[in-house]
Amino acid sequence: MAFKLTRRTFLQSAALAAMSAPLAKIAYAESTLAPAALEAKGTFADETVCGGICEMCFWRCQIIGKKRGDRLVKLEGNPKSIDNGAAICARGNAGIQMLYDPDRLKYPLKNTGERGKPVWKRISWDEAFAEIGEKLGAAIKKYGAHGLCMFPHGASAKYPMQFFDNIVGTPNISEASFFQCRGVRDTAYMSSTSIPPNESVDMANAKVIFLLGSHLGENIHVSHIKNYIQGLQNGAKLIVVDPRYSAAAAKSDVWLAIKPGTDTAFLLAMINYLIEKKKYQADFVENHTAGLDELTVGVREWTLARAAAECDLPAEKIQLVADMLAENAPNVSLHPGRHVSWYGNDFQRQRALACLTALLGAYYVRGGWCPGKAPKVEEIGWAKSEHDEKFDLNIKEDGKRKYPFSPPGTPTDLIRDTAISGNPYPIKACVIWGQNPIQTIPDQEKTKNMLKQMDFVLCVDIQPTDITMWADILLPQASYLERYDLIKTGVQWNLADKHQQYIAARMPLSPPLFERKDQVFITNAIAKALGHGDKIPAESLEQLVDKSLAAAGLSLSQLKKEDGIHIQDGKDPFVIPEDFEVLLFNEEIADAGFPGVPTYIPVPQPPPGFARLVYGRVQVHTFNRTQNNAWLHQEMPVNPLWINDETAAKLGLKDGDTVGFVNQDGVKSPTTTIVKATPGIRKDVVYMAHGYGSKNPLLTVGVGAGVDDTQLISKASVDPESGTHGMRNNFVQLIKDGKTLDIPA
Amino acid sequence: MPTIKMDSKILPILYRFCGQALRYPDSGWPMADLQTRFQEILTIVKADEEGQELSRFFAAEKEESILETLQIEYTRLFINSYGGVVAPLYASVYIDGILWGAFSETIRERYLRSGYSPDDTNEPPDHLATQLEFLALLHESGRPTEAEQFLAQSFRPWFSRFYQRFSAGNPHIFYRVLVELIDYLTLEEEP
Repeated sequence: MAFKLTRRTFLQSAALAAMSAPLAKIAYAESTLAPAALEAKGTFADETVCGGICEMCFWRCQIIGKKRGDRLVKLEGNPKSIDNGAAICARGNAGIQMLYDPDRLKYPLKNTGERGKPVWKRISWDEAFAEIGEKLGAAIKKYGAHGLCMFPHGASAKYPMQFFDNIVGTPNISEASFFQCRGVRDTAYMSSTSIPPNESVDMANAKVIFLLGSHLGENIHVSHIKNYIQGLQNGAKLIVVDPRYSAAAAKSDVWLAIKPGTDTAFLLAMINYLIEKKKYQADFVENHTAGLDELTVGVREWTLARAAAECDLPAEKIQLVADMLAENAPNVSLHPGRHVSWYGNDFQRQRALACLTALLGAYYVRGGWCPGKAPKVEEIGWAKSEHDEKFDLNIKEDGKRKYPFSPPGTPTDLIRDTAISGNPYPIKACVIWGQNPIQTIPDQEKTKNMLKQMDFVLCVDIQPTDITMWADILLPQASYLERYDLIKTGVQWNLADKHQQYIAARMPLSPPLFERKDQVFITNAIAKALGHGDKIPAESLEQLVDKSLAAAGLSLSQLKKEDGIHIQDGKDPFVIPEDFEVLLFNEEIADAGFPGVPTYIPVPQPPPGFARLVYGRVQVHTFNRTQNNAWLHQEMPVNPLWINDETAAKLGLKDGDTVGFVNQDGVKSPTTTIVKATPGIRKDVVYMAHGYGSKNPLLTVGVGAGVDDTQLISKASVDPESGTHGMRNNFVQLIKDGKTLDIPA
Repeated sequence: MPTIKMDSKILPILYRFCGQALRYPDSGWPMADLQTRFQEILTIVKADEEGQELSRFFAAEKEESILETLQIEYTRLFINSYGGVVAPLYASVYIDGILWGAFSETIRERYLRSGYSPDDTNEPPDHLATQLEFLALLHESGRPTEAEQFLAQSFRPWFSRFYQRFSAGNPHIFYRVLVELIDYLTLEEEP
């Protein structure tokens, strides 16, 4: 630009002097600095703030913050914690970077462009709520509450989810944590033991730890890893079943590089072997199971030899594992897994795992599956109400459930398909809260088509993930470091230690920056905008937490006095409830038309030239939640492709080469990653970490970094009992320098 | 050595004026007055081409659409944008790569040492407008030397990076003029 005057001349000009009064009229309109007491250099004291609960992943370690002035400079484990203790992981440390990420959402935004190609305009909260009230209200008025759907995730989504479920009354809510992660595990165990298993295995005191696909070590949750490492230090034998030589496999006594998708056959063969050889825990089976006869018949065909052929494993190795487990029973930890939405035959596999655990008598014993006895606090929330079943998409015309063993909510594809087809009714408004369906739900095009036909899309998040590009209104939420929230309860991490319980409530370690608000503020305002202000259960998140704590005789002020964590005497967890029973045969499942004993259902195999795409976690990321975190990105900027070294050599690939992908449906990855050629993976599988390759340029660190595996998962396999997604039945070829490479068999 | 006239009364007013123009253009924003003052300034500095461009922008559209255009542009340039935010208004982003980094704290300490404190704890202290206000306060309280030191030691090192990013982001004429004026008022001038 051409300012054709020196500044000196400009400042001394008469014309400018003449402007001073009108300039001053504007200049002094607002001020941000106020007079304050003079402070000498170096007088800032460091301060420790307690009461944090981490949310860089779902494990929720208890943390403290170190502040310098108003700035949070470091996060540490709360030394008072009997769970994670003073330790937190790399992601936990990087919470600071999340808090101060320049790309994070700061103000309410309105999309003045198209969905998918947004042009954002900052608006006020009042404008946002007025628009939400008008648009959501119009959709509900025109189409009914069932004309709205919701995709929630995480602690912050619970309160709004209850509102839309209980008060607005939509049945169309689908949580990724259920339908694309652990829901099938929970419903399978509920159908076997009546209890969702979480990850409650007492590995620290086990004689054998058995991991089916779990790659602990790459999958870091602090107290869980302490538990696992303590078990290994104590001499537990480790069995790892995984097509890949994972971090866990590297520490194993036995590694079984199983053919993907055949895990159930492997488990059934061990069950059959234990029954045949009478190597099961007879007393436990007698007293705490039902259906041994049906199970015996149901698994009879699964000889070691047959399983060996199906699973591509030596029969002796399957027998070895079965014997190791039997010889050390009942003190064996059969890990139920976490993210187990694999092949669309997952309900039966998880049932098999629950039943095998029963044959080994490994419930409520040292080293077995054993939930600690955690203290109770009260659930405060929106008043419950019943839905009109005629709008429940999971109920067929004959009144039966399509997916009888579905987790809570509605299976994702019932919502997406209904929204796209308009049959049996239109779904025209969508609320997405803390979830990124683009990178969690298979078949991205279907998700986009669902969103395109909506009248209104609302997103609430802390950062501009890929899904937020599809919002009409995008609201900035306070992060876990900036708000009150979740109450975490539990017991000491090692069940062999003195029995103790803890209660910790999330308290902010930093005030919310910019105009970020918590979920109670946002939900209450939406409730008022929709005419439900009279039903609000708490005026603030702080009040909600305080009310919940009151049931345990606690309050936030008391917790603050106790450095953020209340600790009290615990109870012996190794006491089996008298009525605890494992259904080896489940009549309800059989009556619903599914196998009542665990049954193996074969899965599709890779077509010639393709390999199965399998994905997992890494230590330094929590899927796409952390992809824009510069500190974590620095540690692992892309998600390398694991490929068998001999296969790589045949393809002319070497470590560090850059490759892209095309899948069985012709879906191409728009980005690339690097090759990791290794003998530690089967030839029919390739592997990468999940949660990379964001498409949203607002994420200036994560955009285009690595490959988005979810984009390549265009084919969703739906588990027939639960309606959850299996996401490992997709197959890929590699693209190198523009050429598509056939992967040799 | 810097050559800003030490006893200038107009300079702090100009700093403050630029700071107000950097506020988000909502309905209470003094758009008409800002337009007039900018046109006058551009006339004084003989930036005729820019003056005409700015004039055309304000003449071409209705007041509401002018405001919305500026709101969308402000959001794109300084807050969040589909193509990537162009140039956040916080110093620490350019020095530490993070909001409210160590440099933000350095800036806040600097305010405190001169007897001023940010009154909004939700806003990082190193916002461009806050720093301009601080410069104005130093001049108004008869501490031009401190202002010069702050400019040299704290302001220019990050502002020059901001300016580069901003200029590369194809900014709207209104914000181009504004940032250019800030640069003009804070740059060390050749003797």
